[in-house]
Formats: sequence, C-alpha cells, structure tokens
Amino acid sequence: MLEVEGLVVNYGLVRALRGVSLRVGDGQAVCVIGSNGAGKTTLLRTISGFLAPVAGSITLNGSSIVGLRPHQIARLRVAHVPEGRHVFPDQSVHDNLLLGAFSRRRSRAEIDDDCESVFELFPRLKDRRGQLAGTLSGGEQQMLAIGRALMLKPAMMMLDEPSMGLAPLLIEEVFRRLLELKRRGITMLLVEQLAYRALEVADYAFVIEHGRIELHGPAAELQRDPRVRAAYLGNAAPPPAAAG
Amino acid sequence: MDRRRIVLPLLAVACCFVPLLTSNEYYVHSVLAKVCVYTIVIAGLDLVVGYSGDVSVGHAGLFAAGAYTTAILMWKLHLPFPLAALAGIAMGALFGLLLGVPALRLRGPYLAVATIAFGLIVQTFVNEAVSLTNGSQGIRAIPPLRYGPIDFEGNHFYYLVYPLMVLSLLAVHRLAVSYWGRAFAALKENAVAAECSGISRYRYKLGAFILSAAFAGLGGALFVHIDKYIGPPTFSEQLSILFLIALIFGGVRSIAGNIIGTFLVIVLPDVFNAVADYQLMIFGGLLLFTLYFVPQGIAGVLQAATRWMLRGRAGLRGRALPHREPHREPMPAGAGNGVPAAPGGNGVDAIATRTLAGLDPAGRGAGLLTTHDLTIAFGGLVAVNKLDLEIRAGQVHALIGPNGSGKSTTVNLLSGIYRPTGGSIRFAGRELERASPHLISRLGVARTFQNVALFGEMTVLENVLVGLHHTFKGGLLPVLLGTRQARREEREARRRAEALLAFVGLGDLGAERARSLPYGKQRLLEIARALAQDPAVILLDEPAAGLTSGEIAAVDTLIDALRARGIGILLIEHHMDLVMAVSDEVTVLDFGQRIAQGKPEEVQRDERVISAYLGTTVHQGAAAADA
Amino acid sequence: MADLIQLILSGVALGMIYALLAFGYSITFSTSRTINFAQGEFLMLGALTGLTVDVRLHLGYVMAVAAAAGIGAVLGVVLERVAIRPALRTGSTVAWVLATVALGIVARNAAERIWGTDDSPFPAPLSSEPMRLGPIRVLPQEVLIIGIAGLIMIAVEIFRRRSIWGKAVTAVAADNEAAALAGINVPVTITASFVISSAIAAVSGVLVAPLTLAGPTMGTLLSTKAYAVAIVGGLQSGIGVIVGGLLIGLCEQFTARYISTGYKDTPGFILLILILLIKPAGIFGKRSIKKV
Repeated sequence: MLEVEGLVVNYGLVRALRGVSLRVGDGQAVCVIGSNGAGKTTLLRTISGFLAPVAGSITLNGSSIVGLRPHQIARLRVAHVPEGRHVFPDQSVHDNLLLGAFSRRRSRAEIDDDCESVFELFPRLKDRRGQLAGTLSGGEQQMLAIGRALMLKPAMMMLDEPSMGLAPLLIEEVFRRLLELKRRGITMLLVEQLAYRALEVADYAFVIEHGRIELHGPAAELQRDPRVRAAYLGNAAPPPAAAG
Repeated sequence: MDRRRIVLPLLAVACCFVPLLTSNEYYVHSVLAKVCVYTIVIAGLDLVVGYSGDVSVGHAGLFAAGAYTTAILMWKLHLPFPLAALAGIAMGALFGLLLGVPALRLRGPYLAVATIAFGLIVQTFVNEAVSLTNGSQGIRAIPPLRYGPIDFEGNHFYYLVYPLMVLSLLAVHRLAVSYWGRAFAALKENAVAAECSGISRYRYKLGAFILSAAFAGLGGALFVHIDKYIGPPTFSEQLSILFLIALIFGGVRSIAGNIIGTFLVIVLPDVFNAVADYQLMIFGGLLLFTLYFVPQGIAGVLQAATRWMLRGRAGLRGRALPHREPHREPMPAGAGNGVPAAPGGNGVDAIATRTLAGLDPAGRGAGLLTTHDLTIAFGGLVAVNKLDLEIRAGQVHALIGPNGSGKSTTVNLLSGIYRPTGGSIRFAGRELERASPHLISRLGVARTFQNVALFGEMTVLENVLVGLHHTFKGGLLPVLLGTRQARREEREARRRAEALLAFVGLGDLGAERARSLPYGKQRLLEIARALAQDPAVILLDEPAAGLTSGEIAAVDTLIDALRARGIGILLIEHHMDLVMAVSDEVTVLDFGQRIAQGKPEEVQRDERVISAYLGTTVHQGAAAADA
Repeated sequence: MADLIQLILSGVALGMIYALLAFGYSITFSTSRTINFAQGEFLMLGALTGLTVDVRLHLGYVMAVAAAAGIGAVLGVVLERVAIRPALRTGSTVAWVLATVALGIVARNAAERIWGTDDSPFPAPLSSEPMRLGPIRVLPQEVLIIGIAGLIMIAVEIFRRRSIWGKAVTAVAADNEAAALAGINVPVTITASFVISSAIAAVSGVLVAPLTLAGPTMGTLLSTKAYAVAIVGGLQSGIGVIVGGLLIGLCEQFTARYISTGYKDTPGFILLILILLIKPAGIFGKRSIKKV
C-alpha cells in the first residue's frame, strides 16, 4: 500500500533522513523503531505532508503523494496519530471524534455508528463523551487520538509513539487495542521507542538510526536479534551475557 | 572599511554647507529642513520597528506631544527654545513610558493598538483643551529663534536641524552596534533563548520605545519652527502612517534608508501633483510592494546594486552605504581543534565561579538548586508530578527517562519558561516559581536547549557576547554617548567571550556565522553561551543528541571541566554511555514521576527502570536473545 | 430616570457596534493570530455600498445590508490573499500589521475617489423619529442595531458550537496541524474566518450609518474603539467582546453627557491601558502557563 524509496529530508540545518526506504503491505502492521532523534517522527511527518523531501518518493497504492497538503493526504484515508496526541483541548470527546470524520461526506447516522464502535473499543471514552478533551488524562487522550483517527475510516493508520508519557498499565491497554485493530485488518505503520512492545504488534520491522534504515526483517526475527538491543537501548541495562 | 571611516564623516560635514549653494528658501527650508526634522523621528521609529520588531502607529501623537509642549512653553511662558525643546523631549519620553509599560508586556499587536488609540487621544485633547492649545486654531505666535548674533530663522534653521539629525542618526547607530543591537537581534531570532540568556525582552523593548518617543519629541520641538505654526490636523493617524512608509520604503536598520525614505515621502507628493488625489493609494500600494518584494527597502536595493557594480574590484568591499552592523574585528588565533582546553587557563579566568551569598563557597556538594513536590499540569495532563530534585555544587546530576517522561518539561520549569502548578523551586535562598527566565539567568542558572537554540545569523562570538549581557552595567546613556566606560565594557566582554570560546574549543571560529558551524560545534557554542552567564548551575538538555562519538567525548571532557570548577550540572540525556560515565547521581523519570534515584550503577540495574524503557516484555526479549 | 434609560440604551447600541467589530477581530485572531487593521475601512465600504444600493439604486435597506455583506466577503478574501497570507510567510508581526494598515489607506483613497470626500446622510430604514415607550424616547435604529447585532453574534456562536464547520474553525484555532490531519483544509478555513469577519464589519457599517453620517473617514474612530473593546474583553472570547463593548459604549455616553462630548473617546483608551496593566489577556481571557 505504502512505498517509500530513498527518502531524503532536511529538518532545519540537519539532514534528518538520509535515504530511507520501506514498504507497508495491505493489511500489514509495520513498525519503525529507533532511539530518540533517529528520524522516526520526521519520517511520519514527511509522509503526512508537513515536510517536503529533498529527494526520494512516497507512493500510496501506486500514486505519488509527495507535494500533497496534509489535509489532502488525510482525505486519501491515511490517518496519522501524531506524537503528543494533539487532541482539541477545548472541545468535547464527542466533538473530537466528529471532527475526525470531518472529511467524510456521510450521513449523520453512519457517523454516529462509527462513534459507537470507537466507544466500544475505548469504553473509558464513552463515560467521558461530554468532557473537554484537555481535561482528560494522558492515557485517555491517547485513546481519543486513536479514536479520532479511526473516525476517518482509514485504509492505513500511522501512529507516532503512542506509548509516550503513558504509565505502563496504560501502555498495555493501548497496545492491546492496537492488536485488536490489526485483527480488524487495518494497515498500520507504527513508530515506537519501546522496541519490544512494537515488535509484538508488528509483522515486519525497520530499525532506523541517524536517519538510515540499519536493519529490517520480520518482527519475530528482530525480537531475537541482539543488535536490536544494542542499537538503541544504549546500555540502559547491561547485556546479560556479554563480557564487560 | 577604513575608507568608509574617512569618507562618511567628511560627507556629513560637507552636507552642513548645503545652504551656501543656493538661496532658494523654499527648497532649503521647506524641504531640506523638514527632511532633517522628520528623519530624527524616523531614526527613532527605526529603533522600534526595525530593531525591536514592534509597530507603532502613533508616533504622530508623540511628535505632537513634543511640538505642543515646546510651542506652549514658548508662546505662553516665553521660555527660551533650548528649555522648551528639552521639555518637549521629556514629554515625548514620558508618553513613551506611559504607553510602553502596559503595551509591551505581552507579545502581539498590543503596541500597535495602544499607539493608534494614543494618537487619537492626543488629537482629541489638542482640539478640546482650547485654553492650553488654542484648539483647532492652532498656535501661531511662535517667537523667532534669535540669540543675539546667532540667527536660526529662514534658511539658517537648517544649521540647527542638520547637526541634530546627524547626532540622532549617530546615536541610533551607536545603539545598534552595541550590546543593545545584539539584544534585539537575539530577541528576534529566538526570544526564548535570549530570555534564558539573561536578556529581558520587556526591558529592552521598553527602552527602545521610550528612546524613540524622545526622538519624536525632539522632532516635534523642531517642527514648530518650520512653519511657525502648528495645528491639530497635522498630527493625524495619516502622519503616523507616513512615518512608517518612509521608514519601510527607505529601508529599516539603515542610515541611508532613513534619510532616503524621508526625502522621498516629503518630496514625492510635491513632484506628482497631478496624482495628488491618489496619493494615499500610491503610498499604500508602495508599502505593500516594499513589504513583500523589497523588504530591505531602497537602501537595500542601492546596496545590492553597488555591490554588483563593484564586484570583481579587488580590495573593495561591496558595502558602499552606511549600514548598521556590529563590528567584525579579526579574531586572534587560538585553540580551535575541537578539544577543550584544560581547566585553569592563563590570563582571564573565563569561568568565574559564582560565590553565592549565604552559601558555603568552598562546599563541594552543597545543595544549590532544589525542587520540592514540583508539579505542572496542562489541563488534565500531569506532565511533572511531585518531583524532588537536588543539584549540588561540583556534581553532575543526570535526569533520564523514556520519551515523554517529563525531562524537558522539568528543565523548562527550572529555567522559568513554565510556571509550575504546584511545589517549589529554590535557588540561593530564593523561590523561583514565579521568576522570569531572564531573572533566573541573572541569578546564576543557565541552560542549553535540546534543539540547539543559537542565534544563527549572528557570529559565533556574538552568540557568546549575548550571554555576557549581564556584564554591561552602563545602560543606555553611556552607549549613546560613546563614553569610555561603554567602550571599556565592550572590550572586556569581547576578551571574555574569546576566552570562553577557547575554553570550549572553538577558539578561532569567532567570526564565523553560527549557523554555518557543524552540529557538534554548535552544541559547544551553546555551552559557551551558557557559561558566559556566570552560572552556578547549568542545565544541559540532551547535549549529546545527534553528535558523533568524537564530539560526545569533547562534551564529556567539558562537563568534567565544569564540574572541577564547582558548577552544579543537571544533565538530561538519552546516551546512556555518557550518563554512566559522567554522572554522580541519576534520577529516573517516568510518566512525570521519579521512579528511581541513586548512583548510576544502581539505577542501571533497577528493574523498574529497565521496564520503563523497554516495556514489560523485556524478560521475554532478553530470554529470546539468549536463546 | 427616563433620561438615564435613554442614555443606557444609546450606550448599549453603540457598544453593540463596537462589539460587532471586535467580534470580527476575535474570529481572525483565533485562527491566524492576526487582526485586521483595515476593519474600520471595511465598515466604511459597507456603509457606502449600502448607501448606493439603498439611495441611488432604490433597492431598500435590506438589499443594502445584503450588498454590504457581499462586499465585505469579497474584501475578506482580498485581505487574506493580499495582506495576511504573504505577510505571515515572512513570519514577523510588523509585516501583517503594516500590510493591513496599507490596505486600509488604499481602501480609504478608493472610497474618496468613488464616493467623494464628503459625508452623506444615510436614510434610516425605520423612522428617524424617536419612538415612545412610555416616558422613554429611543431611536428605532438603536433598537435595530441592538437586535441585529445580537442576532449576528448569536448566530455565529451557534454556528461555531453546533455545526461541524464551526467546530472545524475552533479546531483550526486550537491546533493547525491536528486539524489538517483530520482532513480539515486549514488555509480555506482561515480564509473563511476573514470572510466572516469582514462581512460582519461591512454590515455594521450599514447598521451604524443612519445614526451618524456615511463618509470615507467614518470607520477610523469606530475601529480604534473596537480594538480597545477586543483587548478589554479578551481577544478570543465571544462573551468578553460583548461585555467589553457594552462597558466602553456606556462609559462613552456617560462621559459625553456628564463630562464633555469632546472627551468621550478617552474612557475607552484609559480602560485599554488599565487592562493591559492589570490583566493583559482581557476580562474573560485565559491566563497561560507559558511565561515567555
């Protein structure tokens, strides 16, 4: 569905992406993992149309989407859950969801149905449907952001570090939902710092470092790969069996 | 460059004698003298619009304040002109203060709004207070400017206003090339970084506005004698807009621009008499055109043209027109191989360790910056939750945690960018929760930024000089007058800046533009700027991000050097190797809360820490890796 | 007593005009962080267009209002394209402030050329004789202003809160990027906010003209007061704008009656300075956590 070839992107004065290529197949869940500053967010923002690549191509179902504005790409049913959630703080949970469906010209009944299925997935949001989104906790805001993206009825969903700032229990919940979404057949591109969480959900994985894809392969393989631990864990934990 | 220093003053003096060339009273008095008077106002307006970056649509009101004060004092109290003029200047400055204090506190179009309203009020007052101002009739009875043999009437008025114009332009120039000019440039490029470097946005903007109001007052005082009559219709909003047009059209931040713009705005309406009915439309269109297509104004165009014509001529710089830029003096050779000098350098001790009153100066390990229950909530999101932190003298305290755990928010709280919603921050016996960033810098807490926040368009040396603003005790007046003290402070600051650059290993790069430095060197420059603030505590926000291992080693050495000098360091980092190597103590944040604290090795092995970073499947992952 | 009520009513009517203009400011400020310094000229163009439609073309007051709204909408698009969008690209406040000011003086000159420099009376749609409500005498136009201005503001607020497009505008005002990700065309939304703001300004011109005179300089004073109203009430608050308008409108009328007509513009200015000193965000404005 999504094909990225040789993407080169500058972020200010820094070359953030130096020739990144990846592929997301229909119905696949692909994750991109890497340490902070490796270029993960830049990648998603470029695909979404906020940044213009200096070189390289991005094609969605065969046609190039480089140069399209973000709202146009959204209307192609590519949903992007941005880093830091970015819910609309002064509007209610319900309104946030309605706005997610803004670009869809559907009957009120159908949109209400979609709202209900989001509430099914995230019962906590249903309890708070009238509450202002800015007063929700971090975990609830993350769920709302995902719900809002789902209202787009996306063919592909891109998530930027959904675990950021969440307590471990909530991360658990969020990733359980992502597995559910995957089961429902939504194509996913997941960017995460928590490598092992991401590798559990994904079918295929790319490891990005300093703006380049260093490693890629089926998620199950990478889970066992010692280079993955070394690549971005730094030495937060000493390698269990390594000498010194 | 040297050629300019001789030619320009000669030209300036030569122009003094223009009236001798012609006896055409109209031309000399009505046009040239008017140009001189208006240029004084516009030079002041340049301070506000060109340097400070604000818009004042009410300078006609300040102009009027000066004019009416002078006229009334001369007419009713028969005060001599010099006194009346001084009163006019003072009145202008006073209104500048009254307007600037409320209107400049917040960012946004507030000054524009306040000055428009002010212009209106002045016009109303002048019309209404008939007993004082003669209302709509205006004031006609202006005594002549004759002091015995000296006569400033008619053509001779030029001999008074021309030197005053030159002095005004010189004053603005002096300001622009001084630390004031640097402050404005820094505020424009990155206001947050400038404030955290010790520059109070409010104070500098207010100073610029009050000064420009004084200039407008002076212009008004002189204006009284052009037609020997002043009346309310002159001082309308239209005049304020005319001032702005002259400034933008001529070119901001340029002496030539100020003069050319004023000249055109005064002369053009007379020249194009036929289209007088469309005058406003033409001016409006010109303003729009200039804003978008020729932002440097006519002066800028002439400059580019001169440069183009002189290209290829050896030995000549393309700068033919007076242009206000800070001095670029050649840098002495110094250590520039990227490796910081060993501590304890000779000569100027660039890192003056602060001795804080009430604190044991020798006490390594003394607690300098402490937080208690520090909390900040953005709506329902608690980003930092009851954090206790202590940064000690001569020690490195690392703050680590997964993305979004609140590390940068903590640094923003400590440096004064955010106001905490709970808890306290204490430094040197003071509570800092409500303190502004520039005050915190002045007190002795400096910081660097995660995404290097340098002033890219300024040189490397100037970036460090911005951090040294606290060493300039003189204030506005010494700068304007060019006193010995002002020059000495500038020299001292440059010496210290050079020493600081040598200390971090950027010794011979002072004249380079900051944005042209490679990333690693930019980070070192940021640290140099932080050191320039004479801090007791430095907050380093991910100094190793994006650096090669060689560059990280340089940062490591630098941190050791700082620690050796008794500076307390808070280190936010993701590079675990650096953290383990350099820290004395580590606090781990997750979800805004402290989940572990202790020596690096202890924290590294802590279960909760590992789980927070990797997710709970770490065991499976580790087991699989061993399989 | 009747005197007092009359004074209050005319103060309220005046205040509603200020509030309408300030309402326009708050709409564009919330979506693009800019305000239109040519708003007064848009009011003036609306009034003069309405005058032509009503008097010259004999099409009546209602058509005049409609024509003004139309002209306002067009001006809004022109403003956004010519003054705001290119200025925002340069990134400096100076640019958009000066650009809108420039557009204002071009508009004023154009009006002088088209309609002449003199002021003309604008026929009141209802009678120009005061109505009698018991002991109180009030101008019908004042009642009309209060009614229509109130309706406009209520309608816009309902639109903003209830319709999906209104919610989209709020979303754009809150978070540009997140709104784009939801498929909202942000540039078009910003243009729309200028269209609404300018149309409101033009209509207020037709509303206020019967009370004063219609001429090229009629908008300057009104728009200047409206800035004060917007800041006093709070640049992003709908209620604040109305409260601010009423406050300043009433202060003005009372000053005119009990102190002096000449100085009636002063209380607005004083209130502006006071609010900037005490609570710069405005009476109903929100205080932010960011200090810089």
